[in-house]
Order: sequence, then C-alpha cells, then structure tokens
Amino acid sequence: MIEPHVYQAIAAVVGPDFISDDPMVRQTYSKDGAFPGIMKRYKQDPSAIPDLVVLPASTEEVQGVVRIANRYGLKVIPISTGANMVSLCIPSEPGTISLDLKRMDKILEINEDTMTATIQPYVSFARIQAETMKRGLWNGGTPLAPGSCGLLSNIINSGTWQSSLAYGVGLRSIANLTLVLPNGDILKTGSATIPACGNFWCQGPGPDLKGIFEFCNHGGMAVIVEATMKLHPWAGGEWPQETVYNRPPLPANHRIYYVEYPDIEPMNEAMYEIAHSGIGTHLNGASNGWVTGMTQQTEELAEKRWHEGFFPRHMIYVINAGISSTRQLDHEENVLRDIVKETGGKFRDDLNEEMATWHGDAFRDGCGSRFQRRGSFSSIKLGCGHIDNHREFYERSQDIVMRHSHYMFDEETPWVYIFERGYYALFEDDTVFDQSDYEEASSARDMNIDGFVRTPKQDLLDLGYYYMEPVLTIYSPRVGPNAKHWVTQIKNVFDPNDTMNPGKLVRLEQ
Amino acid sequence: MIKELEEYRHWCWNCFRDSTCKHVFTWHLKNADYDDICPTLTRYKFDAYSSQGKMGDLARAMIEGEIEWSDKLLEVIYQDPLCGACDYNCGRITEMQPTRVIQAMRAKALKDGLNPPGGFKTFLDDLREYMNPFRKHDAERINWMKGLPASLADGISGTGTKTKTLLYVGCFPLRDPSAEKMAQDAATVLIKAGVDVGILGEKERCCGNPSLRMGDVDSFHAFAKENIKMFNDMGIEKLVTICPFCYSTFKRDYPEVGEKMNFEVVHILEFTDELITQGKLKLTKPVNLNVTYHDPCHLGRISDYGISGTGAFSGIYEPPRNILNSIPGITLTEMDRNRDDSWCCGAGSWLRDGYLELAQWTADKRIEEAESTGAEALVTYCPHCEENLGEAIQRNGNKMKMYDLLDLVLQGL
Repeated sequence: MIEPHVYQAIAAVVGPDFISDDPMVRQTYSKDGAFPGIMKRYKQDPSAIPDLVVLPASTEEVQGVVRIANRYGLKVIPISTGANMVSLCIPSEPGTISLDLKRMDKILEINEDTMTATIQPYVSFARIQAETMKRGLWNGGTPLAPGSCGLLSNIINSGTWQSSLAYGVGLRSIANLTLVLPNGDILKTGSATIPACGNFWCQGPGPDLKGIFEFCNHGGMAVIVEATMKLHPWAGGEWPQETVYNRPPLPANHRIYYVEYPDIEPMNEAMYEIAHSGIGTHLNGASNGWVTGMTQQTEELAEKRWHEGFFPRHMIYVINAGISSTRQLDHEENVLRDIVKETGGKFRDDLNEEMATWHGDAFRDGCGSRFQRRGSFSSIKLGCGHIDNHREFYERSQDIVMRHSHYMFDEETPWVYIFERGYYALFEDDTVFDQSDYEEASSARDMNIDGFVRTPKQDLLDLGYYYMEPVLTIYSPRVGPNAKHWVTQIKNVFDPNDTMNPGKLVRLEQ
Repeated sequence: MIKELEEYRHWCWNCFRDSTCKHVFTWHLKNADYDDICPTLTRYKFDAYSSQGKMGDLARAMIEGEIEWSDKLLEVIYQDPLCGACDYNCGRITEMQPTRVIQAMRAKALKDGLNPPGGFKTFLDDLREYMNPFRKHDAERINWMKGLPASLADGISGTGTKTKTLLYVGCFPLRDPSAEKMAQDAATVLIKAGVDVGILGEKERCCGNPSLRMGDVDSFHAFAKENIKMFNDMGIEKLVTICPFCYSTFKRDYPEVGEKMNFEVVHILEFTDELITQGKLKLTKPVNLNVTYHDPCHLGRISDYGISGTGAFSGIYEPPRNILNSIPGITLTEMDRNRDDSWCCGAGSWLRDGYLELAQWTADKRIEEAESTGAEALVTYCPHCEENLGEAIQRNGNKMKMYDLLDLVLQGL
C-alpha cells in the first residue's frame, strides 16, 4: 500500500497518466516464464505483485522516482521488456515500485565515425539492428530470444549470442553507461566522464566502475538510463525481407554451413580448429532437439522431427561474412573445407531449406524462441570452459537425465556457443515444460536444481542456480561465502537502504 | 470460434511474456520509428494494455480466481481494436492467438451479467434492438441505391432474384449518407464489368460481427445461422462482400458455427482484381496520383483463423496492390508497416463507438506514417478505416486526400 502523499509525489514527477496502483495494472507485473515467478503465482503470493507501477520518460524522472522511493523506504525494480529467465523483475516484498522503462525508448545517436550507438534502456535488438544495418553497421549479435527484447537488459544479464565467436559475449559491446544511483545521483562510466573526450571508450579516469553495474547486477544497484554500445561492420547490405513464410533469405555477403559429425570428439576438434583459424562470425554446436524446436513451423512438426531424429545428433554450423570482399568469403570457405575434411565432418547443404529460419535468426532473431512453445524453458545445466569439457558436460547431463522422469530437450548433445575465437565455450542443456501443469513445472524445477548442484569440475565454471534464484547467481556454490560478503559490501556502498531490486543481487541485513 | 475462457488456460499460463505481441515482427522491421504494432499498449504504455498482459496475466488470474471483475478490467479488455497484430506475431512463434482469449473474456463478462464499458453498452443495446449497429430500420437499407441503374434494382427483390452472385452490402451505408458512396462504387464496378449480381435490399441482415466482437456470442450465432440458411435457400454460389468486417466474419467465423455453407465467400477486391485480369474491366484513363495503401486488418491478418502467410491462408494483400498497379498514372509507395505488419486504423472492433479518443489517436499515428511516405493520397478499402482515417485527416487539417480503392478504379475506367 502506497501512502497517498507518496503517490502524489511520484505522480508529480512522471505525470498522472504514467503511474498506477490499480490492481489490474499491477497484476501484469507479477509473473514471467521462470520458476520463481511461476511458483509464486501458484502460491498466489501477494508479495509478487508490485504496489505501484511507474513509467518515467527521462533520466530526470528516474532520479525523481528513486529519490522518493529511497526517502519513503520503497523498493524499485527497473524493467524493460522483462523477458529474462530468472524472474528478476518480479517483486519479492511489499512496498515495491515496478519502474517500467517503456517510455525511455530512444536511439539517441548512431555515430558512424566512432562506430557506436547511444541508446536508452527500452531499445530492442530489432530496432537498433534495423537502424544500424541501413548504415552498414550492426551491434554484432542477437540472442536466441525475440528481437523485441531489450538490448541493454540482455547484455547486462550476460546475454549470449550465436555470433560470439567474432564479437564476444554481449558485455563486450558496452562502451559506457549512465546510471541513476538509488540516492538519485548520476554516475557515468568510461570516456564519457572526461569532458569533450567522447563516449567511445570503456575506460575512464580511475578504476573502471562499469563492471560493477553491468554483469548480473540485476537492477540491484542502479537504473541504467543510457548506454553507448560498440558497433561492427555489417556486410549484409539491406536487410532482406521474408518473401516466403518461414524462409527468410540469408543476408547478402554471408554464407552458412551445416556440418555433421559422428560424435562429440571430432566435432570439438573441428570447433577448436575453426575458432582458432580466425574465420567466421558464428560458430555453434547444435543438436537435433534444439534445431527442431527452433526452426520448425509448428510444435507438432517439431515434436515429430525431434523424435524421428530428423536432424543430426552432432552438428555444427558456421557463418562466414564477407566484410572486406567476396574474396574473403572464398578464402574462409577454403579454410573451412580443409578443417572439415581433416576432422571427418560432412557438409549437410541439404539442411539449408529446413533450417532456413536460421538465415534470419542468426542475425536478427524472429523465431528462435519457438522451442518455448510447450510453455517455458529452463536451462538444466550451463557451463563455461574449454571446448574439451564438452564430453564431460554431456555425460553429466546424461546422468541428470537418468535420475529424473522429466526429459532434457537436447539429450543428444548440449548446445555449444564458441566465444571469442575459441577462448572459451558455453555449454547449455535445456528442458521445456508446460507452465499450466504444476506437476510438470515442479518436475522440471527439481531437475534444474539437480543440474546445478551436481556440477563440480575444476576447469568448468558452473553457472550455478542462474535459472533458479538470482541471488549471487553466476557463481556456483563452491565459490564460498566470501562472494556474498564481497557483493554485500559493494551493494552497501551504492544502495545502503536496499532500495534497488532487493533480494535479486544480494539481500542486505537491515 | 471463441471458446469458454477456462478452455484457454494452457495459453494463458504459457504466455512467455516475450513482448512479441507488442512489436512489428522482427524480421520485417524496416524503421525503428515504426516498430510498435499494438495501438492500445502504445497509447497507454502499461502492460495491462498489451496482449501479454491481458492473456498471460489478467485472463490467467481470472481463471485461477486471483482477480474479480472491476471497472478497470472491463476497460482494459474492451479498449482494444482486436486488430490481430498480436495473433500474427505470437501465432507464428507460439501458435497462440491472444485476441481469442480477450474475446472470451468479453463473453464471460456478459455471461456474468456485466455491461460493456464506455459507449459500448449503448452500442450493444442498439444492436439488440435494431439488429444493426446504426439504429436504422430495415427499410432504409436501400437508401444508398439512389442513382444506380435499374438493372441492379432488379436484384432488390431479394429472394426473388435468380442470380448466383450476391453482393452483400453490409450495414455501413446506414451509418450516414457519406458512407453510401462506397456501396454505390462497389455495385457500379460490378455492373460495368457485366457481372450478373443481385442484392438483398431490405431483407439483408447484419453479419453479426458487432455482436461477436462485443462478446455476445449467442446473438452472433443467431445472426450466423439465419444468414447461412437464407443464402443456402437462395441457392447463391458466390457471396461478394464489401465491408472487410463482414468478409472476416463470413470467412473465418461462420464456418465455425457448424452450419454447412453452400456458397463461396469472396471480397470485392479479390473479385475486381479477377475482373481486371480477365479484361472485363479496362483501366485506360490515367489517374495521376502518388498514393500509399492502408491494409485493413479484417482483409489481412484476421481475415481467417490461422497464421497469415503459412500457406493455409494469406491476407488479401496482393489484390488491392494489383488493382492500384493496373490504374494508369498511379504510383504506389508503401508504408513501413504494411500487410501483416500493418498498424490498425483504430476502428477495429467498433472502437469508435466505445473509446473514440483511442480510435482517433490510433488513426492520427497512421496518418503520420502515411505522410512520411511522401504520398499525396491515402487509399484503403474499408468503411470503418475510411471513416476513422478520413476524420483524422479532416480533424488535423491535413492535406492528404483519402480514397476508397474502387473510386479510383471507376476514375480509371
């Protein structure tokens, strides 16, 4: 319950049309597709429903709202599209304001000279891509989530893109941030802090603060109101329009290759060689389960083909871009063909038609989240490390499958992202489940917990609990209690009243 | 057909809240300024006004007994043009269609004894009393015919006509005299092409679209069954519609009523395109005009159930463009949002009768987009789109001209 004078104070900041305490409005900020949110709805937990929804339009309005919240002991959850997989934007205690950032949707600048774009938080992948691609640039990737997702929120939650081979994890894209701290102060990071320097570089004077606010801060310390992102050359020319349903053309000056392998080891060898050869923008390992789920037009067809084993069990796909010229494409193809030959792979050009959604989704995702058609999805197991961990990761996944009645969507092989020219790889095993079936959702949740608890391996960074509870998510339990102390101290510096998204980053003892 | 709300439980729970219902389909986006696709959400911003809010949160909460009816809830579910943009976007990814759930909410509201909010209560009362949404008597259904050749008047005898092709005029000419021209143009085009066509005149009944959209499913069934029986009894083979609302209702909703339809439903733009191709309409006179075309939702993504473009069906997108390109002197420049990605004019689901301000705001946005093409005229073919967009042009003192497509065809003959 928000006191009337507090309501009036916030209404004076954002305007009466952009604040609501109506139960119907508040209800629509109380659930997402992740376990914490789903389970709260099953329990009809009232703490999941915010007390107020507020839509600021500017940095100044965000400052005004958080100052009032801080003064009156309210909590603030910033939300852009809210399509995260961790219920980050679902309240966990009374007195919460959902700070919906929809009105902060401007692309403030696209600087073709510095190859940067400055955006507000409610700018989606699709919008920035539509505008930059016209100029021969792009942001360098797209998540396996609809292009309507917020670019900035995806990145600060460690968004991962199929093009991470060339452009790295999404976080590499941030040049600098402008933040509103819980006390209403503005903090800028990077070169933008130096007068007349410009905002193209991620470092500024003194220690780099950017990392504190970007990687899984979960809106737990500040509201990001502006960010400058790096851009990359776009070789694809004008974005090609889909003329046949579900069959988008591959953008110009790009080539896509599907290569089948008989087993994981030669597949790993090929991925390692390709990554280190310097060719390509996209390199991923995919399974029959993943591919059918994402590319097939209907759920019925996807289920059928999954069970039939329509696509290979072990497959990689590679995309090469002719950024300098078509000779680059020819050269990279020759390199790829040599590697595939040496590693015993088989090109599957025949899959081009059936996987055609990939021609769009690899650059600007439209249908990639089709595998959620059953209801929702959850990563049962996530791990980061050297490519060689692939086999062991797979075996551990199989071990989890054997112990649970719920199924793993990609039982044949984990999905593999190759990052930054093979510096490391991300392995991911997922399941899908029907949210409307409590038993099924609970069973998937149990499998998820098991998947993250049984993970120890020395050289594999297990992304423990990430899809279960966001608190200290990115570190596995074996990190130990010091991680919590460290994060608590940082949170205490910037947000001593625990105003920002309490409980998501770390819960402060009051 | 719209089912009981509880039957959509699976969809409601499984809304992934990925916001695809809010924006132009990602692959199709051309311009960051024209990314919004949901008029209500774009206007009011709170998620309650989005389809994911209505389906994934409010309908789900209603099914689970978490919420009860309130004025705000009624406002949220009725303040919606049901333009089908969310159905297209969500449908092609998850195969869900949120507007069905929203309509099921409306039906539940009426069944629970509530009245629709805003001006919709009067609208529904009038509809039940007059059997058309414009408070007019059946005898006035022929008023639009003045000045038309006698050969068409022969068809007024309704069941007396022996024609196999029936021009179903729709209720819109009853609205006001300015709406009559569209019916006159449609009839004139068919006559000039030598089509042996009849009309029902005073015997024509509303297609039932307003009842269905308001949630009065029982009344809709009554309209549908009566009309199907009448058409079958007349032995017609082809039902040609003018109003896209009627077309969508006959095409996608009637087959689900369960009565056998012994006739084909075609829209007059499809028919006209065919007549031009067959050489029965010769467009030789130049109409020098730079135009842009607005796709009515009811001719497009909601002209059938299913997902437009899948091969099972596609909206009536090419016939109007073929017609425009057949008229000498016409230059067509597309808006960024066209075909399945079209921005609703704001009159969908009779929104002007319930929430005029939202309808007008939505039309203003479309006019802005039309103007951005540099075209001097906006062409469409829907009496509701024409009313709402035409009024926006006048209200804003805009210089853009507004045409119905068959008006241009007649100019080109």
